[in-house]
Amino acid sequence: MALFIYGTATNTGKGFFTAEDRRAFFLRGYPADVWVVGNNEKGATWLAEKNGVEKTKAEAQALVDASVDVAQADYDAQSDEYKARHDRPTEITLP
Amino acid sequence: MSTYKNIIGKPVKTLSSNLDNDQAEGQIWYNSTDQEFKNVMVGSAWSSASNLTNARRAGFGAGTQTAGLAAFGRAPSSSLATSEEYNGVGWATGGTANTARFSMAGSGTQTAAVGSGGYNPPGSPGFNFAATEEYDGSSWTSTGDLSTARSACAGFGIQTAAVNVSGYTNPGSVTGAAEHYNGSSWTSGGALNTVTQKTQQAVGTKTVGLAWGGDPPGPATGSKITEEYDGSSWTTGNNTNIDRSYGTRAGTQTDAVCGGTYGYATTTEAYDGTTWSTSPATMVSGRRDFGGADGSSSAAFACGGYDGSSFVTTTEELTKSINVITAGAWASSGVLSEGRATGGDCGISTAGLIFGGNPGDAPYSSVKTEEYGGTSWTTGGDIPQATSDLSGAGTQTAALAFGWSSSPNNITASYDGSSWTAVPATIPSAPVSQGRGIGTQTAALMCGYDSTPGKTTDEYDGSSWTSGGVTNTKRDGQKPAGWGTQTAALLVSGYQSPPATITSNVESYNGSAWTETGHTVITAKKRTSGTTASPNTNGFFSGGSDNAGANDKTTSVQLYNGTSWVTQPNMAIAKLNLFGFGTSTSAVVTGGDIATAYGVTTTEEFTGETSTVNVKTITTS
Repeated sequence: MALFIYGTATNTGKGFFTAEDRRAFFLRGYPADVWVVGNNEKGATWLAEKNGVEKTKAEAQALVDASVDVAQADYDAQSDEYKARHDRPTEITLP
Repeated sequence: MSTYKNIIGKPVKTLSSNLDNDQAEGQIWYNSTDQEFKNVMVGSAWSSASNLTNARRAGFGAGTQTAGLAAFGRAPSSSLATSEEYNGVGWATGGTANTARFSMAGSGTQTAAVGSGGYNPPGSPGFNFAATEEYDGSSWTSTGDLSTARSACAGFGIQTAAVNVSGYTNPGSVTGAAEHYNGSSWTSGGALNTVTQKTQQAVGTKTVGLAWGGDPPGPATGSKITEEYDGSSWTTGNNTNIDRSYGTRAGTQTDAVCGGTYGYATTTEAYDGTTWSTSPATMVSGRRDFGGADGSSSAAFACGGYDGSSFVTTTEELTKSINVITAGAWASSGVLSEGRATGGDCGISTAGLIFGGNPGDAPYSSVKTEEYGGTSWTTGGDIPQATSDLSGAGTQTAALAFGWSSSPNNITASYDGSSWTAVPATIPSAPVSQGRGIGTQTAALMCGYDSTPGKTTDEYDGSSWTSGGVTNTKRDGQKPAGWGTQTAALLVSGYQSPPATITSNVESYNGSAWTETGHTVITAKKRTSGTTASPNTNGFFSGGSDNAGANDKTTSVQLYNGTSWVTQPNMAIAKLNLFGFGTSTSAVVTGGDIATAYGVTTTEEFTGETSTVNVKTITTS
C-alpha cells in the first residue's frame, strides 16, 4: 500500500485542517495547492471533504514542478533589487 | 443480592462534578449535575509524539517513555553510531558510539544501556559484529565482545545483567543460543527451543525473560512462537495471535506488549504471562524494523522504522491510563489580508499582533498591522512608516515596534490597540534590523541584530533606549529566535557572517549580562519565529532555514523545556521569515516565505499536549 495519497485542495484557513486531522494522518502542504496526505481512511476522507482532487504522485509532482517553473521564470524576469532580496526558487521533490 | 457497598465497603458517592485525578481510578460515583452514574475507564492507546531528529531503522531502544533511548541503526545510505534521547516530549541528541551498525541487541535504561552484535555495512552479507558498547547517558564505551558475532538478535535485561539471544551468525547460519553479560564480559546462556532470527522481540530480566516472534530460517514470514526464560533454559509459551517480527517491545515476562510486524500491521498484542491478546490500541502508522522501542506495558515508546517506502522519524507512545492524552498538533487558521514576511510580532495566541514586513514585491515594505483574535485577522492601525525586518514586543493592546530597515531607520513606536504613535526614543546602536525583540512595551530588549561586532543589545524602559549587555556569541540578524522578558531572556540560534554559518548557541540574559547556557539547539536555524509570550525557561521556535548559504524552508519545531531542547510536532507548511507569537502550549505562526512565493497569507495554530481523565457514563445498555 502506498504511504501517501496526493491531491490538490485550496487552503481556506480556519478549519481547513485541524489539530485532530494532524494527529490522525500525515499532512504537508506544497506549492500549487498540492497536499501530501497520509494514506489512511481519515486522510482520504479529509481530502474528499475539502473538495480535493486526488492526483497520482507523478501528477502532483508535475503541478509542483510547473509552479516552481513559473516562480523561477518570474524570478528571472525581476529586477536586480528583487534578486538581491530573494533567492531563486528551487526544485521540490515530493515524498 | 450483592450491592456496591457490600463489595467495595462504602456507598456510591454523590458528587456535583466528575472526579478529575488519579484517585478516580476504580471509582463509581453519581454526578448530580448530569444525573448520571460515572466511572473512569482505563484505556490503552497509541498516540503520535514528536519525531526523531533523524530517520532511523533497525536500531535498538532502551529505557522508558519519559527517559528513552534510540541508538544505532540504519539511515538510508549508512549505518549509524548516533543516538537520540527521549524525555516524553521530544528528542535530543545523545552520544555517538564507537562502531556504527544495525540489527543489534540492546537493553537497559537511558543512562545505563548496553548494545551488542549488529551488522555493517548495508548490503554486504557476512559482516556480523561481536562488539559490545555501554552507554552512560552521555558517552559510549566499548567492553567485552560476544562469544559469537551475530546480528538480527534480541536483547533484554539491564546493563550489568543482560541477555543477547538468537541471531544471524554467518550467511545462511542462525543461532538460538543466548549469551549473558555481567557488565564487562559474556558467558553462555540457554538456547531457544525454536531457532529464530531477524529481529525477534524480547523483554524482561536475565532470569525472568520473554522472547517472541522473529523469523525462522528461510523467507521472511514472521513467527508466533513465544518462549520464556528463567536464566538458564527456555520454555515454550502460547503463540502470539499474528506473526511478529521486526516489531516493538515493552514490558516484562508477565506483562508485555508488542506492536508492528514485518507486514506493517498496526495491531498490538499484550501478554499476561500466559496468553497473548489483541489490544484495542492500534499503532497510528504501520511500520517494521523500528529505530527503537521500549518501556512498560502501560507507558511505552516506539520510534523510527521502515514504512514500506522510506525510513521514517515517526514516534508513537503507547499509554495505558485513566487519562486521555491528546498529542500536540498544528491546525490551519484564518488568512492574513496582506501576505508578508520578516516583520514585527508580539502577543498571545488569542490576542496576537503582527506589523510591517516584506510583501515580497517592491517596495518590499508594509505599513500594515493585523490583529489576531484566535480565529481570524482584522486590520489595525498602520505603523508610522512602511518597513520590513523590524521587531516587536508587548501585547496586542500595548505593543512596541522598533528596528526599522527603511530610512529613517531609528523609529520606535507604541501601539494602544488601535493606533501607533512614534515615540522620541532612538536605539543607541541603530540602524538595527532583523533582530529579536523581547519583553513588553515598557521593558523591551533588542538583540541578535546585524551590527559590529554583532553582540550588542539594547534595553527600552518605556521612554528611552540604553545599551544592554554584550552577548558572548555574535549574531548578524536574519531573525534569530528568542523570548522571555527584559530581565530573563533567551536568545536562540541565529545567523553569523563572515563566514556564513548558523550558530546552535543559546544565551540567557538576566537584565545586565548574557550567559552561555550550554544547551545548544538540536538543529541550528535562522529566520525563524519564536513564542513571544514564553518565559525564558519554556518556549519554541519554528520553521526557518538550517542552510547558512541559502534560504531553505522547513516545518520543524524545537522546544526548550528549561533544561534541554526537544522536537515538537511539525507544521504542515514549510516556511521561512515567518511571524510568530504565543507560548509553548498555544502559539500561532503566520505569513512568511514558502518555496515558490514570498510573503504568504496562511496561518497555523499550535495546541500543546493535554491530559484529561477518561470519565465514562454508566448505562444499562
